[in-house]
Amino acid sequence: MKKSTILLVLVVYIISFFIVGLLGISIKSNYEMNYVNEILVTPMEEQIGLVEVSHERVELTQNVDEEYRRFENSYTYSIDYQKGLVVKLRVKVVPDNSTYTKFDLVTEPSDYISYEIKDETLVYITFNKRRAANFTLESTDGNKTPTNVSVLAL
Amino acid sequence: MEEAAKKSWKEKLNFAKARFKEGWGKFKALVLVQLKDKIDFSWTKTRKTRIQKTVFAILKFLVIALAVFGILNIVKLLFMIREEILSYYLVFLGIFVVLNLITVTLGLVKSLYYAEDNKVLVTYPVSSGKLFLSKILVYQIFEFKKALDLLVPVTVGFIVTGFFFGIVPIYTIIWSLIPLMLISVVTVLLGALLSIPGLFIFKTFQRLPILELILIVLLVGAAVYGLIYVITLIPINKGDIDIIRQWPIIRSNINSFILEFSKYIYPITFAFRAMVGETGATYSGYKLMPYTFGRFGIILAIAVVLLVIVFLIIKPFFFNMMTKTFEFEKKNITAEKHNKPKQKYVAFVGKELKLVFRDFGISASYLSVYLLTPILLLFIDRIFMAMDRSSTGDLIVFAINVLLIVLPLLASSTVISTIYSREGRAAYLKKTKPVKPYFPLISKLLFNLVLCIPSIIGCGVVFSQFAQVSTFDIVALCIAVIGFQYGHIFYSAALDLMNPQNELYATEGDSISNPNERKSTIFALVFSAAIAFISYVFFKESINQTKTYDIAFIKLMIIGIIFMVIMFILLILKIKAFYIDRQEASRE
Amino acid sequence: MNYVLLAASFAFFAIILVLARFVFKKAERVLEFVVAGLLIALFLGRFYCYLDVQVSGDWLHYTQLWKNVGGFEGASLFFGEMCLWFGMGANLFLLMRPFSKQKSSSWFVKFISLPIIVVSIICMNPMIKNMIGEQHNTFETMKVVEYLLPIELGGTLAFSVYYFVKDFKVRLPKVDRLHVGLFASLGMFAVMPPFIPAFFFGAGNPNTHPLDMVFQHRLLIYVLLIFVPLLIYFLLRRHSKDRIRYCLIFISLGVMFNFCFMNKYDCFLYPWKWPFHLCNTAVFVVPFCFIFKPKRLFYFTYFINVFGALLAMLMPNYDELITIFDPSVWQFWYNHALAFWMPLLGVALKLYDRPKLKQYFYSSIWFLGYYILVFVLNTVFTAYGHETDFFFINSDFIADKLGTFADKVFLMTYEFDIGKVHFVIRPLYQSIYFIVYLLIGFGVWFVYQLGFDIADSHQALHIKLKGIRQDKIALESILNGRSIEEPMDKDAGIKLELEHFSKKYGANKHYSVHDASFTVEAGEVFGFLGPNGAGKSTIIKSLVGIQPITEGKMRICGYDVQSQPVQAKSNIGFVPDHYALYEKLTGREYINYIADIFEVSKEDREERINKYVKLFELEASIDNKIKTYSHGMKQKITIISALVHNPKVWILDEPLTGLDPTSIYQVKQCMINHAKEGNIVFFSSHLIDIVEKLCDRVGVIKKGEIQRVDTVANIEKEYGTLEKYYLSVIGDTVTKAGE
Repeated sequence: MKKSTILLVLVVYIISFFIVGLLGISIKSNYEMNYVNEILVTPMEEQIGLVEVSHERVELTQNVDEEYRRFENSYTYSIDYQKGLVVKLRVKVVPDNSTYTKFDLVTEPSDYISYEIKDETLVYITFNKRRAANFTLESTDGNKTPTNVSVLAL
Repeated sequence: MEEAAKKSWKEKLNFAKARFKEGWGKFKALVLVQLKDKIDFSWTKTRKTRIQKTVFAILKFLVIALAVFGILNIVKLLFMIREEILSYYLVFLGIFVVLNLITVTLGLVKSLYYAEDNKVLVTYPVSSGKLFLSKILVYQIFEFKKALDLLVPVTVGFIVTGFFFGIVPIYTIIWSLIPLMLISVVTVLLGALLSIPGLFIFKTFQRLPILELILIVLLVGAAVYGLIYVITLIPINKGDIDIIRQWPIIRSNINSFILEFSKYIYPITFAFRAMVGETGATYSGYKLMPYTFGRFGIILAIAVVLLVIVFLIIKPFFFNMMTKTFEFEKKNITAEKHNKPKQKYVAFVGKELKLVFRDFGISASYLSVYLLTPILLLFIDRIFMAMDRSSTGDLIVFAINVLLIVLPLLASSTVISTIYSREGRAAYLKKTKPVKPYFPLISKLLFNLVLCIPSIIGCGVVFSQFAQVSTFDIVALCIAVIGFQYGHIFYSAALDLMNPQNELYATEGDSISNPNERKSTIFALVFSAAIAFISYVFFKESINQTKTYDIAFIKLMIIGIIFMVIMFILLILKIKAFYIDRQEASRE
Repeated sequence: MNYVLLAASFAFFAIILVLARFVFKKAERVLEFVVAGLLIALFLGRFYCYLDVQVSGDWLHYTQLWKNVGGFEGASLFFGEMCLWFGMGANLFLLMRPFSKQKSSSWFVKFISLPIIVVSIICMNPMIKNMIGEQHNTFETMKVVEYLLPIELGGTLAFSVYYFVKDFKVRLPKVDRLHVGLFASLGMFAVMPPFIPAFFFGAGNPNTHPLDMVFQHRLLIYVLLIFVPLLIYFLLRRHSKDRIRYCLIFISLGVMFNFCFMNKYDCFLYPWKWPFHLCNTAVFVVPFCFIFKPKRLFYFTYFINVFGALLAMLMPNYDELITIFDPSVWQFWYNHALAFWMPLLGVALKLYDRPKLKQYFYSSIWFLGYYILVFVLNTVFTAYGHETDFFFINSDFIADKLGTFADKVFLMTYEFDIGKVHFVIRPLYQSIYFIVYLLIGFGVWFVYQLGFDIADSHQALHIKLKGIRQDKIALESILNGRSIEEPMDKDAGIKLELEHFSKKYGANKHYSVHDASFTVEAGEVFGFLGPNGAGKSTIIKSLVGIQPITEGKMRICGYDVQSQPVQAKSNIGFVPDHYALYEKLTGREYINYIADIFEVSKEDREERINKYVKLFELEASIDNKIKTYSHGMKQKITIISALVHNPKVWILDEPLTGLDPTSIYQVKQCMINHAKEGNIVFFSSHLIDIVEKLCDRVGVIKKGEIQRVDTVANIEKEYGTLEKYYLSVIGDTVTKAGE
């Protein structure tokens, strides 16, 4: 096969992905959806030295119905930096019966901090230098209910 | 005495000038004779053809650039990407340059050391150094021509898009092309340098063909392993992949990847910056700064240094390396060999199999496609299954599966449109044998006809893993695809039969641009797209009318069988009517 | 009363025609035109008096028909309906007759028009009832129809009888009659009024409630839109251009009347209702083109209308709520089928030449003119409050289908006032629309070229296969019951014969070899001499089957090379001038492969391979790949492979080129020995010395003509040496022995 033909075939594969991804996805109606109200973060049990500096909870929607109220949480932690430091946090979406329980981690890329989501409930932050890790956890149900987390490893 | 010294100094200068003029004249002639042999300049003869060729070239350039512009605008609309557009160009440039370096190296190994015209050029009254430089220059001119076909219009498309997005100033469009050309020069020079170990590897493969086979097996094995590993990473639950909802994370991952990628391909990132300029804290986008021109200067210096190195290293060995390729090592085979008679038709098939398996290039490319198609289908189907699809989405997935089975197979069999011409003049002698031409000609297709079947069955099995369809439907699909594949093979064979290029292959070898291959490729692409569209319509109708896909698969199977039968009949009729007639005019 | 009118009308027209025939003979044609004109006026008058019952799809009338479908009334109404349909065709054939000198037009009038008119007269009352229906608009309309139809029928009866008598002796050949009759049946589909298919699919039937197309509807569409035009092509393609033109005019006029069926005369008062859509214009332009033959206008329909019709058929713009029974649906499909097929048929049937690119440019100019016209009409009529959208450039019908981007461009308007009238134009959208359509038309030109290439290749294939079939029949007659495995000339033995052999390459006018005849007998070494390009290789390549023979015959051992190629080749061993081997095979593999094709037994091949390998000293190399061989070694492999089956006729084309002296000697010895065994050795060479010493007879060829075939001894007797003779023939001077 010529190079150009191989490239064209590969382009077709990529386009197919986008065609299905954009045109073929089912759109769940509001009646079927249980949206995420808030995302809670707690340190893992064996995380030694991680101190919660502050936690704020701000209401995002003014809604009478308790079920539909949304909250944005902000957590700040601090820990002493040491080489190979890994901070482990447990993440929970509320309510438990949300349609989409997975969350996204959105952050600026950094050379010295790396992030990993394990088992859809744990966030591991690896520090290579003394830095502050700032990231946002967002729900994936379209509402993007946020929780902001800062971990200061100094 | 002073005058005498001056005179002799003047004489020396004139002598040097004359020598330079003579040397330059020879060098120019050498370059021109190679260019005229390789490029068709007949279009420059009349005004009409000159205008035509120029207009078409400009149109082609504009179409590609506009297509890139259009696609990037759609990407911007859909995915709200703006400033990152040029970093995507960096990825494209990185992949392109790396792949191009490999191609250039292989191409230079062939051109410098294995080209047929070396046997003639080496007899010219020029030094091996000039010969070497002329070959490099001719190859570079070809690379510039190739760059004008794809790289330059894509670059212009990106930069123009960047200008409209407010990321780059207007003059970047002109400036960026200069470092781009320099990148091409550096690639060619690097390729020339790498051609030395490349030649060594080539010769080793020639001496020990088993090594080539091992390498191919390893490469294909690595590709398969890599794909399977990636497949295992794909999430398996429905709804796990959703481009729209997960777009922010996808975008963030892409940006991280580009950041890492730009570190790994630092030289290309450096060159990219020389093209588009620098980013800054006080402005968005890219600007041409003095440092940018500094980068350009560095690249220029690297090119000059490479040229000197290449010339100094290769020139002493060039003559030896070039002429050694004309020599063959003789092996005295003392083991007793027997003359085993075979039935006539078995002899045809046996000969074809020997020829195919002794040409690793072609047989390996077939086998890789046949092996990779079901695996790639598995890969993309796993992704589709991780998406929460609507009923329309299911239909689209079915149609796309048909497309992704048919397209690679048909695209791989476009080489069938060169299958008879590749024999060169040996093809004429087939006509002198006391056997009707049908079997000898069809026997050349047997390898593909047989080997595609396991691949198609594999694709059917993969499809059945994901689609809620019956075994009958899978069998019908496989038969349909076999019909399309066979039909295309027969069509391509008929193309070669009706427009043979034996003389070109006999004189120029594999490097020719074969119009039949182009036609076959276009047919494959258009046909695959049409079949995918028809499949979608059939699937939609079938599910609406009967709640199953059975009727759609039956219709596809019927179309496949009819297509195959028609193409086969046409091939046989064309052999009957035209086989003797064709190729006659080319010899006198 | 109706029959009185009919009789009076018949009498009136009959008198005019009798006078024309027997009294005013010089003005006969003029009077025929006058009568035709009067009948056209009557037809048009009656035609446009149809009530809304057919046009609007009020099926109440048909309900009556369906209720009585089993009874006499139902049957008579059914026949009346059929007469309305076929009467259209009959009238069209009749009214075209004065304008055509075609024999087939007379046949149509005699055998189609006249019988239908007679049946129509019998079914006149049901016809009137079908036209008026159970409800009628006005008393006046009813009366007009009631009176016009009998007058029209009387006139057409008189006219058709007139032509029946006048053309009584006009005959068509049987095959033509069949084709013309089939065409008449197909042509009736062209004149089928829109309410006919509705009727057949049960419109008005109280037991059917149509909602959507079913398989039968789709099948009918496929038949009418695809099958019928193709059938028309195959029926007409072998007929004369005049006949083809006549038939296409009939179809296009019929469809034009069908189209006009939906409109009343009062539409002329409302210009915004005129049929200016692209495909609507085609309904009028196409018959105009076939009648008056304006080339540039025709190519406008060919490039612009065809594509537009295809788009329309893919994206129909009738209301989705109406059913397939609605006449407007049928009018839509007929209109676009005509616009699509008729220009294609015009080129396919060679009424118009295949267009070159310049015809596309001319059609673009016509398109520009049309575009400006519809642009102006749309703008002006819309400004005056009428929703006009000719060619869809004034609405978002197309933009809707292309997405939000197109919608956004559509909404960019430019508005201005002239007096109190407010005008709105969409310059960007309408300009892009024009350019895109033009570019797509350019793309259509490439599609046409592709179609022509495919058509030409199939035509060439068809002609070639026909020639092969004819050759086969000729061969069978020569063999006269014998098997093809037997030689044509049973007593030939080992012989090589050329009989008036001539060869032309491709489309060249001059012969590469002209009228070559000679025979080579068993046991001879025959040398073939001539300069480069004389024709030696041509003769050899034709002998061995690489090229076909243009004229004459070639026989090997009695087998004709052209008609018994397999049998002839089984007696030949061929050594070409350029070795052409499979370089990836070893020498032994290659020779065995050739031996397998010639079905050489194991013992024979062992013996011969060992013998020749030893003779040519290839023991060390025979099992290496051929690509490692020198030129001489490759030549030797070629020679061995030509001898492995011990051929009766060994043909060599310059075999000694590139061989070392030892090898030359070895090859010469092979040739001599092979001939001594009773075989033929036939070779061409430039080396006169070798030919002189080796050959029994020589042939000399110059510029495709055999100069002489004789023994070496005879030539030397005349000229002293073979060389002198050769130079005298090939050069300018003549020197015989002793001069």
